[in-house]
Amino acid sequence: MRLPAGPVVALALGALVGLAHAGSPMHPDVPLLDTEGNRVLETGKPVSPVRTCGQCHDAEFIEGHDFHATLGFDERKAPGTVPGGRPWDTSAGPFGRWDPATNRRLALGDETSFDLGVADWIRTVGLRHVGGGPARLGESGKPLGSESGSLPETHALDAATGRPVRWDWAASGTVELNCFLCHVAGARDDARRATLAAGRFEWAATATLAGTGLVAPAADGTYAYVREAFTRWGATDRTRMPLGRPTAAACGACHLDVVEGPVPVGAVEAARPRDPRSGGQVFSAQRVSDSAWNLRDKERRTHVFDVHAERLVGCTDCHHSLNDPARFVEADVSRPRHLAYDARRASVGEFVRRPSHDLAKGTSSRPHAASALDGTMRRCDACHDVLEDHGRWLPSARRHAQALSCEACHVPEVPAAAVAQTDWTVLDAAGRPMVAWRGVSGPVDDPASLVTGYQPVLLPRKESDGRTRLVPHTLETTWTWWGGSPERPVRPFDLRAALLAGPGVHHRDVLAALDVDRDGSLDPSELRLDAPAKVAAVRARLEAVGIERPRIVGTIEPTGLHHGIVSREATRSCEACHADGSLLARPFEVARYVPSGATTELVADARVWLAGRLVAGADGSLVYEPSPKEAGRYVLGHDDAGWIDRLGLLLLVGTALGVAGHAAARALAARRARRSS
Amino acid sequence: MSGVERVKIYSGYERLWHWVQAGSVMVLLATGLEVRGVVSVLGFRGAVRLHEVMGFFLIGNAFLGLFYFLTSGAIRQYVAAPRDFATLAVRQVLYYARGIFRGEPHPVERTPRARLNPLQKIVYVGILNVLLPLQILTGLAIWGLERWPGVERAVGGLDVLVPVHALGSWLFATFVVAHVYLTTTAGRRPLSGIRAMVTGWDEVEPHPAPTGKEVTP
Repeated sequence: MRLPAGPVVALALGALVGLAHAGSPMHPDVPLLDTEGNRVLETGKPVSPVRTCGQCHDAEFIEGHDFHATLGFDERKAPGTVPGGRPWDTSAGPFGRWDPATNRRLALGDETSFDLGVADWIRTVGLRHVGGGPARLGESGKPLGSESGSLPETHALDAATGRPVRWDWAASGTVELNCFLCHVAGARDDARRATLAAGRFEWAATATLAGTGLVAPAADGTYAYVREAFTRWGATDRTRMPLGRPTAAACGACHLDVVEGPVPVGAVEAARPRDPRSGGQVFSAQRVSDSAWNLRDKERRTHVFDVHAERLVGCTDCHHSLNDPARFVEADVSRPRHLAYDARRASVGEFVRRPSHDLAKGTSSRPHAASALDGTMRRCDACHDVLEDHGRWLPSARRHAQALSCEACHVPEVPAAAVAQTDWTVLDAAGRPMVAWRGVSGPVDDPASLVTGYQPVLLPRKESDGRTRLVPHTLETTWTWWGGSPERPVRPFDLRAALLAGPGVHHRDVLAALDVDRDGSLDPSELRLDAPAKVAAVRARLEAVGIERPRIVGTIEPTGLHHGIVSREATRSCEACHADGSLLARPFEVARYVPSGATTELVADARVWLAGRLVAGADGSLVYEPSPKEAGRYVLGHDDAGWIDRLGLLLLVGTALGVAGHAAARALAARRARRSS
Repeated sequence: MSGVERVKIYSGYERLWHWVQAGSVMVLLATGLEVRGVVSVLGFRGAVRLHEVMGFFLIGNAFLGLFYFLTSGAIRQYVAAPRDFATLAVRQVLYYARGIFRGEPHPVERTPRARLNPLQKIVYVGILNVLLPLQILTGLAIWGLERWPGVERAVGGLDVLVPVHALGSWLFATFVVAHVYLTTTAGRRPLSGIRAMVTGWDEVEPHPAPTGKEVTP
């Protein structure tokens, strides 16, 4: 097969740029150690980042101050007691919170419908986990596998039977906090993920170094060390393993679409963003018109994806360490009112020894891990003098800033595709849910599909300064079956057992109900439960595999859009909001279709709310119609005065008709008088 | 009809004040419609700016007028003083309802010192003492949202201010329609009233109607 030269060259350049990232010139070369503290060159065992980096840094402190490691593990509560959570949620973070879109759920200790054990969690949800925390320790605080823990800690789901089977932690090892993933330029996340998915947990950090030349894959799926690539005294070579502060690309391994270097956005991933759950946000200094996506009006979009990226503002400039002596400013929520600036700072040495990995964060629209740190990130107005700039041209600039988030105008559209709906009520022949996208016409995996982008919906959100502002969001709806006693989301395993007769084949009852064109297979347009008979057929199948009282539940989850900031292209026209077609009231499609008889509501623990109503669209879609008034915003030029306008109009028209009648009567009387005289 | 005399009804300043006020009100009504999103001519920003400018213009003119009426004594024109005021008002209503179609004379004699009939006095007292201040205050509150956020909070926000201001606008628009029509009933001919407000001169018909004792300056 002949590969197209352009993308190959671009990829090669990108790889070179990635590797050429020098890291910090201050950082010394280090010997790689295993968990016993011995040099891996001598033992051949997996690298222990905690031991290796712990030679200089306080790794225990770091792991204890890193919400990327805990992901809710340290905030676990008894099921049913998580504020706003579901009866089976045990935390607000990914470790314990059911994610409707993936429909995977960490098993509770005593239940029979076992979905994810901790080992399963590591191999699925945990692919986006940096390691440490629940991937290393059990609830007792001791390493996983060191003693008999709860069922989810000791067992994993057997893909064949759907029952828990004991997991061999001694063979898999645990996942240490993987310092290399973020701090080594050119870290190989793909190799790390593959190792995790294969269950070789203790090799995950070593696999991360696959691109450095220090390690080479072995035939048994582990890694061997390349002696020649190390320095004479057995340390890493900084040209091969540059260590430094995390790059934006490192963050992009799990968050958003972060693209650095010359490889065009979309060169690798067709019309599909790399992170489908990010709402299509792209953090890149590239021009939108230079992307590889087949974008509508592409030649007109000459602005960059994100102006902060263009101006060399990196992720860690805003999401910095909370004890970084150069950046830390105590958030308004916790700062004593009299204290404008806390002069007490950690010294550089103290910071290097013990850098907190709890990063400054904003207030997310959905609860997440470490919500106690919400609002610790500086807001836009901490860097930008909004009134100084906007006050020159924007009437009532202060009032606008109090009512709208900066992103409301500075993220006027998302020039990418984003997931609009995930439907777990049916599965395709491969056992996957049906996913509908917004911002793209045509299959999202087809590079020829036209990416139209989409305009966000503005939702009211109470922010860390106590004010409620309208913030741009995308909304993603997930349809899932719930059932059983006590009620739980139906596991993907049970869905496959109910809907599929075997690999690639739907069960005949499902086929009979859904195969509208009777061609013996179900195409995407047929895979939807849009009629009571179809719902009944699938429900019967679920009951046949033992699910009691299955019902369809729709969950709408908001995702705030805070990246993809534009400057000159921001919304500036008054009429964009102060007119009939105000974007503040622009309808937003929430779901492509509604399964028959299903109800939908915003996820209960969201920090935004739907100030408006959900209505059925003419095409069967579910549409959210925002109401600025319900959001506490009276918008001149858009909102009317209700009954007062109707009364006033009646008064005016009535008066006009009255005087017209009176005038006509006068004219008639005058005419009669003239005739009689 | 005999005995018609040509008299100076309005002074130059009164006419100027009237037309400035009329123009301001019309511009405010028109731009108000655009600010409310009913029409689109100037664009939202242009309409808001013009509305604000004309609003302050109207306020300034209103205060100048108040100063004039107070210092010249013309304020008495608006004071309802005769003992038989109610009787005259009823007659005026009957005139509009019946007499005007029969060619009957106006029940109240119009003189330079007593230009307003009882119904006009009631309307003007309402407009100048209630409606205009209400519009000025709500308009200022809306304009000053950013400067005086406490005022907005105290009165319940735009949700309250805008409907009240809108109601005032509808009442003003209604008044304009009725006022323009009623000027056609004020003089000997339909356009006499308007002409008088332009030239200052009008032809009045002295008649023996029981006018009571109008208070004149």
